[in-house]
Amino acid sequence: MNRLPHLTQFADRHLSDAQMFGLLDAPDDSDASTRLHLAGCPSCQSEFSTLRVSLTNFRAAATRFASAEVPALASSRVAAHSRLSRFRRHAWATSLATVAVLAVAVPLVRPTHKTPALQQLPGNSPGVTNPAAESDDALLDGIQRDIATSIPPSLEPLAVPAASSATDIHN
Amino acid sequence: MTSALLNAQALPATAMDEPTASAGSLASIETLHELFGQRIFRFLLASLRDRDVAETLTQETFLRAWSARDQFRGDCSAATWLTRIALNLVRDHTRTNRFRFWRQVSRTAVQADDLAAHLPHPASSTESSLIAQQQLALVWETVATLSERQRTVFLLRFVEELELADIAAIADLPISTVKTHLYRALAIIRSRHLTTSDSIRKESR
Repeated sequence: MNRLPHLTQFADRHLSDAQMFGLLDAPDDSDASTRLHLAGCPSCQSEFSTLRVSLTNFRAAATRFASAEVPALASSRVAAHSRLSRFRRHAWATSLATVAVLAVAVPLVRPTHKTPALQQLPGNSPGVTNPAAESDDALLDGIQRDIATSIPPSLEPLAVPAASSATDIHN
Repeated sequence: MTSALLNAQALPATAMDEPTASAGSLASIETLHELFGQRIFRFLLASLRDRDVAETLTQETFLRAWSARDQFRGDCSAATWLTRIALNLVRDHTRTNRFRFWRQVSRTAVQADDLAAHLPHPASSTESSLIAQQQLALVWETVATLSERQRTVFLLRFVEELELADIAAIADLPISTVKTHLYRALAIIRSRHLTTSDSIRKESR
């Protein structure tokens, strides 16, 4: 710390951080010895004055800057946000109420008869013929006829084993 | 709104209560914002150094306060209550959006030059104006290096001019701890001033 030399009783002992803090934070509450030193020490006077002016300017500049920067419409925006929040809360309440009403009402109106869609399903109407069912019946009839035949035409040679084996031997 | 908030008599007088809140004057969020909006914005701007973030958090402060107004018991002033909400938002923001925050700062940061344009006595001499700008920049930059608590306490004391008891209530700290943070913050600022003064003195030789 480089301080200007002076020929006073305070030359080698300046205000401590605590004393300077007391002067800056609450000048009226600072003790008598601190004020006495300040009155007789140009170095501390200069430092105290510089710090005080710096802090005062800092506050003033911050205040003016904030005043200039604070959005003019901020208040109305806050109000709009507030109204929007209220609207959202109402919307939520309305949605929840609607869901609750539907949850109660839907089981009560459940249909007790078949719907038209179910009535129109193939095979559900006795008076209507189904082409797919007819083809299935014809196929089953054909298979039944094939099973009922004692010897299928493709296996007919096996029905005469003697003639067949004789032929093989001779060949 | 609770009767405590509506009743100005129940609110202790502090430096932040300069615009007296009369009964019924806080009946709307617009009125609350008109009374305290600029101060909350200033505190957030000085704390976060970003216009956009400060504006957003200012609105958020009043919205939260308004939505929680039924919980306000009137144990402290409305300004103290609002500042406490704002401080919590600052802490949340810097904690959860730290990296995004710093990226944001690079785009819309408030620099010392921005503040210097608003220094009082612009008609003073060029030399004294330059010195004032240097000192302002020094304080602005030094405050940025303080810890979060030191910065908060310093801003509440030397910008908002709050009483120590109010600062303790806002920061949720004992008064003795508030004094310690304030003392350390001022010691750092004093040290930077001395260092800068020494360097200026050496340059002038």
